[in-house]
Amino acid sequence: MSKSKTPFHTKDYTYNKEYKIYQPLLKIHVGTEESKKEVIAYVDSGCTPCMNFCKSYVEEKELTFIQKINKEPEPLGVADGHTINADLYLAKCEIDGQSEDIIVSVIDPETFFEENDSEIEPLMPLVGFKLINRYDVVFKGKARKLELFHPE
Amino acid sequence: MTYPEETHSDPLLLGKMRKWGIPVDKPYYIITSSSLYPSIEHAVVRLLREESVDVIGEIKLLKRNITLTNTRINELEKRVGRKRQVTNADKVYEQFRRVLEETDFGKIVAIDIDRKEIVGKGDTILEAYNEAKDRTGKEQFDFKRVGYKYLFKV
Repeated sequence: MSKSKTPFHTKDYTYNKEYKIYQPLLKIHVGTEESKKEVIAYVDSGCTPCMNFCKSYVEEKELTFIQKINKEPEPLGVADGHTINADLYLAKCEIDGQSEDIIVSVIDPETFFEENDSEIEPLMPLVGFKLINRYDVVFKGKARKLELFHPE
Repeated sequence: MTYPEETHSDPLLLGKMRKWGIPVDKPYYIITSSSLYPSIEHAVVRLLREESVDVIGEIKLLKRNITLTNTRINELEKRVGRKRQVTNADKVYEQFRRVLEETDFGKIVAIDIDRKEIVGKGDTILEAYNEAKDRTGKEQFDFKRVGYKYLFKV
């Protein structure tokens, strides 16, 4: 079996007692080379792991990133049609020892702007432009297991 | 605000109205569920018709109506928010917009507002950032997704 066919990370789904469902959650270390903190990220088509943080969460968890890469606040679209401001940072993300440089966005929910018509766009699962699309991801529904592979 | 009119057709009711001194030759108005909060116009019409009106009750209803309207206006204003101000990066992007939308629709571009030019391009922010960094030696840029008002959706 080639290296790419062996998962470098396997994770059982996490049981949510409140809603009585199993959820594909990953533990990811994010920050700089010197200071990484663990965050829990949902692996789905919408909330791509390590992609978006709220400003208050970053302050509360005292997350540090390598470098802020934008000068002026960048506009992000929200599903309901609002535009929201965000800052972009270069950060180190690590899943099971596999470290990658990615861009994370820190959203300030207090600064949102006019509501436009929400544009309908095709969505593809696991297109996150960030960390998770660098790997092959298998959702083993019956076994309730998540497997991450290096792509061939 | 208009109210549905009804004429008095019931002879028993007409008799009682005459007995109580209520004029029967004028139409009366029905307050329906869609007109729960009477307007000033409605109050004035009733006053002109010399009907006994609960003025204090009317005022209370009108005040409540004003409060509810103000609350709704505040909610809507908060929802609409304010307009996003045009940034320097927006102005630079606007100069290249037509050409970019023809050739690189959907791609991310990095903008150097000091040079007033596009210095990086890629499918992801990281690609555009790395290209811009190699080209200029700087570490901060502004980013636009060609053809969209926003960089990406959350």
